Amino acid sequence: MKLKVEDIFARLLEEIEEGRNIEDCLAEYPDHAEELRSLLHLAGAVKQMPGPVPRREAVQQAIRNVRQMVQADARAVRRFSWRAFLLHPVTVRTALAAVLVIILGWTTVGLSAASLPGEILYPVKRLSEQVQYFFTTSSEGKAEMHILFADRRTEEFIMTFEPGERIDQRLLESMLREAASAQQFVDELPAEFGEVLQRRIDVCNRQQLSVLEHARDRVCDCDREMIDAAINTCRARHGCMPDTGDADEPCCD
Amino acid sequence: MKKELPGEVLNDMVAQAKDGNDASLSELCEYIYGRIYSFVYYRVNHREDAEDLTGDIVMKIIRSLDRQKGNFHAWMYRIARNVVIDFYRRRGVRKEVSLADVHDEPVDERSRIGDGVLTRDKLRQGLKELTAEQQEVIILRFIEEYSTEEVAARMKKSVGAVKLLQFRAIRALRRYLRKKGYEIKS
Repeated sequence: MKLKVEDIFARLLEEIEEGRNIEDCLAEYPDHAEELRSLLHLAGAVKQMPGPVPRREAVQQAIRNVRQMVQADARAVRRFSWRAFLLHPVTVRTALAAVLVIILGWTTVGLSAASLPGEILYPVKRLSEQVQYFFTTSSEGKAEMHILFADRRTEEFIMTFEPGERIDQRLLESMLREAASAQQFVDELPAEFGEVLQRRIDVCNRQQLSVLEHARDRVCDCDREMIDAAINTCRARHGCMPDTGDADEPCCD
Repeated sequence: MKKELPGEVLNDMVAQAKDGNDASLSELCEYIYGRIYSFVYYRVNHREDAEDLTGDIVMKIIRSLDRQKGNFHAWMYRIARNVVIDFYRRRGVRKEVSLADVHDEPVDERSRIGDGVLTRDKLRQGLKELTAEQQEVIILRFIEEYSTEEVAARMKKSVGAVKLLQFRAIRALRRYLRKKGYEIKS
């Protein structure tokens, strides 16, 4: 295989480093001899050039600087104490701020629990529910969460309902959606785990149906169609609920 | 070329320096300074800058000793290269060689190129004409006298790439010297 000129140059450099004569080396590569001769001479001249020598005082100064740095670092490590750290104004301020944020957060979430749609703290209540839900990993836990949220939305519906006034469509949808989501999770559970939760969903659905039927005659005409659809949904689900007295009754879905 | 310490001697020195042994720390600083100085000197073209930067590099290396892994010399040159790059970045342009600095050179620091004479100043000016990688390969391969494999490890390149780079670098240096009227035997 024909070598490239840079490979020949590298090889000749190594041979010259080992003590061979330039002309002897070049004799093996007559095609490249003319090109490589001056390059090898130049490389040799660069190699023979005495290296620059740093001034002694510059080296000593560098060593002194390093010693000072190492000593300063060691002092800094020795100086560190937990007591000083804990009593440091920045640490104290940060800790106080953190405690304040926790207390404020806790209080806000607590106060928001009783809030209703349209109130300032209601978004906090929904957000805290989402956080709770996010940290729930099991299917049973998620089903329980949806049942709890469905109950809360039903309660909110009762509290915000005004006869003759428009009903909160988003709240109504949310109420039905939570119950449906709970049902989905329970359906995926083995029968022995799902039985208790199924009863709770059954109760929740009955309550929603009862609330909606009670409200039906009092809503304004423009919302009647919407509430009828919701009642039908609840009835359909209610029909699906396995009768606790006859568990073999097939589901209507 | 200053002799490179064997790995186990160097490791022992580093370990003792980390443990706070003052003598080992001084020895290690002097060793690093000696290895790095000419690399920096030919890259920055100014003795005082080279001394300041080499001092900074030594401090940086000592401070980072706990984090050092793998080949010590490759790591050391990597830090040196980054400090030099930062130096040029901060400065924006390459500093020209000052006349005072040129006259500072002792007159006997030269070597022969065939029938001509190469002075360190001329070499330094020639290096300035090369790319950063070409400068580095000339410094490591011909001034520091590392083998092609060692240069490849220090520059994180393949041996083939270093062979090509050193060939192009020395050819570019020859071109510059010829342009300046230096006779090179051919």
